Amino acid sequence: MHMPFLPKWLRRFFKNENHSETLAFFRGIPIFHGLHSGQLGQVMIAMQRRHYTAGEKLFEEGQPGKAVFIIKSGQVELTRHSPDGGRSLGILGPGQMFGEMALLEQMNRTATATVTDDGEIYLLYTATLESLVREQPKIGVKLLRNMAIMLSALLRRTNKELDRIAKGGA
Amino acid sequence: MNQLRFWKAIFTLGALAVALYVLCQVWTVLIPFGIGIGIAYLVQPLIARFEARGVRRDRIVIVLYAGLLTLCVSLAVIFLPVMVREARQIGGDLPRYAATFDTMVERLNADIAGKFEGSLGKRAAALRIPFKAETVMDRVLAVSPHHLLGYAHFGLWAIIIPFVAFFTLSQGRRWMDALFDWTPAEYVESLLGLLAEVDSTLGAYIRGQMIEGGCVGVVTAAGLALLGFDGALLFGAATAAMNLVPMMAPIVGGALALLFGYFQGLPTSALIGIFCLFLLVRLLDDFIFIPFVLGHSVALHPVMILFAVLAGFEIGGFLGLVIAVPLAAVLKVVIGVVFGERRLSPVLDGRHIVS
Repeated sequence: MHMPFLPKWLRRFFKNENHSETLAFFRGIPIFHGLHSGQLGQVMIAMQRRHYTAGEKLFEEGQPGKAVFIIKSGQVELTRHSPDGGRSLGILGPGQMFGEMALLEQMNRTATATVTDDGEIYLLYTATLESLVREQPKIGVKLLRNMAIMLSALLRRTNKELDRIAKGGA
Repeated sequence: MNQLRFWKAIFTLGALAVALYVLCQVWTVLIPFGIGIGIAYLVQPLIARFEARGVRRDRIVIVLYAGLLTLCVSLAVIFLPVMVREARQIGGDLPRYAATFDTMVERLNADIAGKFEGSLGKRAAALRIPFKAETVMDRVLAVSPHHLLGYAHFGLWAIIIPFVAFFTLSQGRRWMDALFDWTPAEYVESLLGLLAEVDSTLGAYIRGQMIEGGCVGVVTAAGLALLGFDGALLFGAATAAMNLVPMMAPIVGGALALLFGYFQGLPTSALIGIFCLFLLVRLLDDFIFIPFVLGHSVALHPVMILFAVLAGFEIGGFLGLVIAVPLAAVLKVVIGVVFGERRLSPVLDGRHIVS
């Protein structure tokens, strides 16, 4: 809490003890890099928290994507349909984000997300983020820059994979 | 399994029908609860700003709540007695105004009949203006806030509204968390979308309308008071309320102010002043209040607002008039979320080479 004009006892009275801990958690998520405490706080307020139990499906492949998910605790498995049943794309844990393509374009989900370990997940609806970006363009610039960096890194990795496959096949 | 789902759906629909029936039976009891939740909803963004800076929600709610309550009570203490006095005075004068107006109309009718009697004979009587201000006044009073006030138990409301608003503000986040925890996982994304869309449309609209209406009301009241109009504060408040309906404030409000000003015996210069004031308010509203306060947050088309207001008045009288626009905004959002699909156009074509 940054309110230096208040006396110390009053700052202690108003201070939310869990806030710093939650801020530290979100600061570790790549999309939020570079946001200062106040900006991060505004993004946090825009999020919705939900407890999930193992076996619950967050979304299914083919459904329209409307939100991005951030795992606070627990684990989530991403799977994709394949001719021989479901193919696991990986298991995600605390501090990892998924469904971020929904932030850029409202296309259908390309995988199914199932909770494998009970935990808490934050959801951020795309339109909420859009209105936050409209109201606070400085936050928007940082978020979009981080997303561009993430996508660029993913593209580089995909190019390397394709290169490796092409060389292997040759 | 299918049979189980069928019975679950039947049970849910039955429960909803019973709940709707009970709500219809006791809807007047729910009014103060609705107002309390509405106040909390309007104040919520202010609380969220502090929360984002690491301030404890419960404590900032207490402080802000005490401040807002003090402000409201102070405003009520200052302005309410003046408004009540003005309302009593206008209420007392109203029959006299109506009688004067009817006499004027009768005189006009007699003039018309006299002028056309020579050429039209007895048929000239059909040309008379069929208007009686007293009848209109009776009709208006039948649907005025008095009608609503019949439901109000102000002593009880004065306790319930602040109580509900306080608990909604301090516990609102927990209630939302509980709602999401209770909602089946497959519907969480849709519920989140629905609430976010309703909030962005409705919240911005209501807050914007309140600020815009407030600006219009203050300028009107100040202008009328300067012109020596009796009941300036009451007219300012009425203009602010009328501002909810497109064009109603400048046309109906302006015409009524001119008429009342005439009956109060104001000089011609003051009547011209009233005309100019409402013109100025309209221009201020169009070029300053709406662009700076409402911006592009109004997602409802003016024709839709007009239709909603007329339909609301037809169905629910004064209460229908008040809730018509927010209800139409919610309906529009729900339809948009259920049937709408937003897709961005592709920014890359097949010829683009990623490097």
